[in-house]
Amino acid sequence: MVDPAFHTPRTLEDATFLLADLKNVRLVSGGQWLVPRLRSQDIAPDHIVTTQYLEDLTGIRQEGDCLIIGAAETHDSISLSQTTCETIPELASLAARIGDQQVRNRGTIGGALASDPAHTDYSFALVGLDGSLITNKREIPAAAFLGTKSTAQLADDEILISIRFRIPASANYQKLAHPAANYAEAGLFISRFENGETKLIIAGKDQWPIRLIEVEELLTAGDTEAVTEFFNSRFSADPFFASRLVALLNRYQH
Amino acid sequence: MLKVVENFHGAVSFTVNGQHTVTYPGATTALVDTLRDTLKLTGTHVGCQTARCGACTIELNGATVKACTVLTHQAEGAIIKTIEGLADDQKLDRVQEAFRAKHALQCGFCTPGMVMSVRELLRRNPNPSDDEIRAGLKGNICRCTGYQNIVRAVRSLAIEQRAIHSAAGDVTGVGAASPRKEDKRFLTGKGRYCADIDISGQLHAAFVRSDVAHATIKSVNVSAALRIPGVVAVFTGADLLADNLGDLGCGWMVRSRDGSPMRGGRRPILAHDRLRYVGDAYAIVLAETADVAKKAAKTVQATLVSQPHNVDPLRADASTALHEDAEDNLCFDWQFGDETGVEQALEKAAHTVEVSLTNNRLIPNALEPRAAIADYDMGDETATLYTTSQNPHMARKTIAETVGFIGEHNLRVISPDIGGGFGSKIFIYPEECAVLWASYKTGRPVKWVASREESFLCDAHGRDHRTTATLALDADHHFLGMDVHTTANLGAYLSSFAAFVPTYLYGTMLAGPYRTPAVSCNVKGVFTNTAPVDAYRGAGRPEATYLLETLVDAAARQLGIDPVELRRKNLITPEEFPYQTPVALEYDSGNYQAHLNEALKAADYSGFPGRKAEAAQRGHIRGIGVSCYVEACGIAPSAVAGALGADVGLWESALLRFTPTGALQVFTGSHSQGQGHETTFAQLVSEHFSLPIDKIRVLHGDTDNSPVGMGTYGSRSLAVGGSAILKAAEKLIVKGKRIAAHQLWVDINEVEFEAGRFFARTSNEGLTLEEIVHAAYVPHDYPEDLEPGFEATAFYDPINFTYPSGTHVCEVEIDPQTGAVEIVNFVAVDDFGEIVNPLIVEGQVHGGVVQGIGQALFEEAVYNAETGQPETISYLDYALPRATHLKDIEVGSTFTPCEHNPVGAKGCGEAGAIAAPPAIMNAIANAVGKRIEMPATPSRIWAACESSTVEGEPYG
Repeated sequence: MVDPAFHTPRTLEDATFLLADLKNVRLVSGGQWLVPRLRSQDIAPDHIVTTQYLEDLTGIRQEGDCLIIGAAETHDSISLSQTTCETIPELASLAARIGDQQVRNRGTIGGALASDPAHTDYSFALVGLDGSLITNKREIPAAAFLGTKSTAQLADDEILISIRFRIPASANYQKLAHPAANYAEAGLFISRFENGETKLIIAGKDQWPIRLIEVEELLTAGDTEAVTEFFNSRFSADPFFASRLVALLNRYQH
Repeated sequence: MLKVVENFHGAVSFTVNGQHTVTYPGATTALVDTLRDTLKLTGTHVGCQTARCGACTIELNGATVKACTVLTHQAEGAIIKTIEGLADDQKLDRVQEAFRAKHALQCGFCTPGMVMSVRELLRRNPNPSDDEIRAGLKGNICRCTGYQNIVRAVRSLAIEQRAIHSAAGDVTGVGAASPRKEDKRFLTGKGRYCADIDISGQLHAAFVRSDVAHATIKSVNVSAALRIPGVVAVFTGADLLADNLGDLGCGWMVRSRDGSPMRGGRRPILAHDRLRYVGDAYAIVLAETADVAKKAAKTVQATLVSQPHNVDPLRADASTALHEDAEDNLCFDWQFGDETGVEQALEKAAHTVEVSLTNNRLIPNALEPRAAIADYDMGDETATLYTTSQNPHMARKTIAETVGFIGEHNLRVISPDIGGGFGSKIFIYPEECAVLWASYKTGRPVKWVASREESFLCDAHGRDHRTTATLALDADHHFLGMDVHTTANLGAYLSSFAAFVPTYLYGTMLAGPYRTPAVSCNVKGVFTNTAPVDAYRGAGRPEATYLLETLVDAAARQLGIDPVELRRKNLITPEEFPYQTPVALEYDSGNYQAHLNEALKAADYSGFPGRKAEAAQRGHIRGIGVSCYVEACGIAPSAVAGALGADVGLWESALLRFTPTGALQVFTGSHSQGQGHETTFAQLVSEHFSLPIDKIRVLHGDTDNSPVGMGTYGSRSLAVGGSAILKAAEKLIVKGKRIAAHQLWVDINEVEFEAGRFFARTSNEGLTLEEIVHAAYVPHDYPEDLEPGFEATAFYDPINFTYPSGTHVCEVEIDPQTGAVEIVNFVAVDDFGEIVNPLIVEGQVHGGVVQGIGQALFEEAVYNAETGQPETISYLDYALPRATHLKDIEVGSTFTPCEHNPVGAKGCGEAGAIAAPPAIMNAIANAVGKRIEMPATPSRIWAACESSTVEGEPYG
């Protein structure tokens, strides 16, 4: 039984090297998901690599029609960032609704997406804003990352560097939160873009975000009745969920 | 080849509370463990392992974080502030002061984290609204205060922006809203909880627990665990059996209707032949560190033969027998009350109303997990056991008997500060017995602290009744009789009071505050493959009150009359006291109409139709619900308890010991888990002796220095323990009068004691209390036949229970589309008799009501019927009320004194948890037009809205 080692790479290159070279290694960022599991010994790595000294993983900036957020930015810094507020204010609002103040002070967007993408509110925004994940190996479009548990994974030696969102003309996120875990039991993310495009993303408990392309045109046309009808028929097996989506849609309308 | 390897077992340096610190943590060590274990900053607490409770909140580089989510290595170079760093030069900072002034803490366990969160919330927003305050508290769970006084404390800082000066040192007697004496230590991180205690040379224990619901054990292989470096010993159930350890039984004997004694349920300290529920412990691992013990526990392998399991009390039968001596899983079939009378009532009734309901299974969730540290001294053959117990003397007796190797007189049990109990820490659990025995076997101190998951699995759960009941009414809507059939889930074993709770604490309360001529109650106590079930805040009385108040509302709905009018018609009137109920109790005093009227007025009951109509315009549905209750507290007259099956007495003790300089130590046999005894009891004697409160110190929880006591539960501490204190004080006053008579050369009948002075009635010559105490310790001029010294011990055995009562009114607003329910108004008006400290009493009501809200809206312990696995084992799946779920409630009081104890107090700790659930559920039923089960989750409410027609309901 060897005590695990803690590694503090200063550059992305060093971190990439470490991850490729070491066996049974875990990357730690904000630690909200990982550290409790280390304490309970549900996860027992031999090596821990911290992202805290990697400058490449920080920063919130606008690049053309995109907002790029460093993977190690905390929910709190995203919610308070002037750049976020000026480009995608609803993303700032979404970040401010995650967990609680202490979780937001420490938890990072990269950590949330890498460790528990099924439950993080960012997944809605990722799909609704044509988002993608930029790693040290590739750029993964949201659609490829989110969808099933098997795809929503980074390789063992893959480091999430930043997350790219397409800046919409407007966006709105509504959720009904689980009373204990605070994730969206029902959620609705609607984005509208300059070119007139509208995206409608929904998710429920333990479900991945789904884009409902079928009704986006109806929504653009302002035909909420038709959207409501669609919800009711699409989710007829779970009328409670459908009803909650309709309620969220009504909130959006107001 | 590693290019960058740093801090492999390397140093981490940071600044803590202004001091530069270097530590050498492991790579996976969390900052909270470094702070507590290495730096001994134990003010930062651990309440869960899932980053949900917030008890470990600290400041890291100026921002609050949960220290259980930060690796110590990540804190390299950081500036850290913990609760210990706040008070400056012995003086509390303004947040701490405000907490104290507003009684924003009870057990103190969440307090350090809560204070840190409040500091950040005020930094970000110096003038927050109530909603913003509650949002800022969202990350911190408090189980005691209901958050209301925390919000109040923050509000006072926001609006006044100045420190609050509290009066200390004055004479602070009965009735004063005195800030608490214990608060300073809790607010500065100096509270001393079990987990904060380390004994040099200690081993750490981890239990190996069943992960299946039911199996027989063929063998247990511990060899892999023993090979792990740092593991000192592993003991299994078979080892304990070989050492002749006893098992744990129930301290209350209940007989079935055929006269036969209850059967089955005895619990071995560690299972040796059969595992009966998920969490059942069958081995204990002892190692040099807690991490190694935990790791080794995972390697213990048991060869099991799977057995059929059952978690549903209504399906308990021979097919899943847990105990050989209860082959049909029926522990008792208890019949109480007047069966014939009820039959006749049902026959002649003009109306009968029937309900079938579930009282949902709850997990008490004291924020401090249970813990035990045992230290056996081979030389003296004595042992000290620190444990999280609400009644240390009972723990001493039972544990000494069970482990067998030590006499009761040689075992010292210390319950230091306890971080909430709510009943769950009354009982004697296997773990503390095992830890004590392990210390005896290894010759080293042994420490065990439960994880939150263990708390969910193994703390005694509460409630879990299935009931069908019928209420018979005459043509004028007077109650004639009530027929109750309940199945109570006892779990896999009988916990310490398991048989008492669903029988005598339940059946005797079924008359409630009403005239009901005949009541019959049948309770079947059954075993299932679930955690043992025992008393949780209210214990039997919430189950009875929920049933009764549900029936009353169902009757009103069925008869088409106002539920308040139906209550008025049947409430016992003030002239009828003392009132003998048909279910054994005699209520000594009360005025039920008074609190009903007061509560309805405060809730603006008559204005409800207007508010309902206004909500309807917004597409929402409002409902209003009332619950009246009476409970039996001040447990208990020993002879009555004995006649009902108790194998203990239920008196309480007190020892009052003046020091030679005239200060006073009060030792009580009761115990505090946040109820503020150090203040309330001090106020009581402060009033009696006219002694400044800062010259009084209340001590409890150490069996080596206080008289044998019975502990705290059943809202008994002030009514029974306080009465013992007054009785001891009386003895001292008599003694003081004798000394005074001697020194003043007058007859003892001439001497009066008033305002801290013994004086001769005629001459008014006198001596101060201080002078009398001095004379008792320096008896130079002293009555010949009188013992020196100035201390007295008294035992008080009540002659009756006490009967607090009250009315709670709840108004809810429902969004029928989402099923969301909001409590828009909650009024609690209670009659607790004499109130010593209104601040503390109000805090008890807040906390109780919020636990009641938890039961009504959020909480339920769920077992999967197919697998027998518990599904609620963390704060991610078991929802506790958080600050953001709630709004302020309104608290009022009415007064009738307890007629038979010298304090006049009735008890207030459980009222909220008893009265709130039916008020809330009646309000929801009123809104949606039908009754739904607890917890009233959005999906249940939504389904009820979908299937009911709200129009035409008898409310308007």
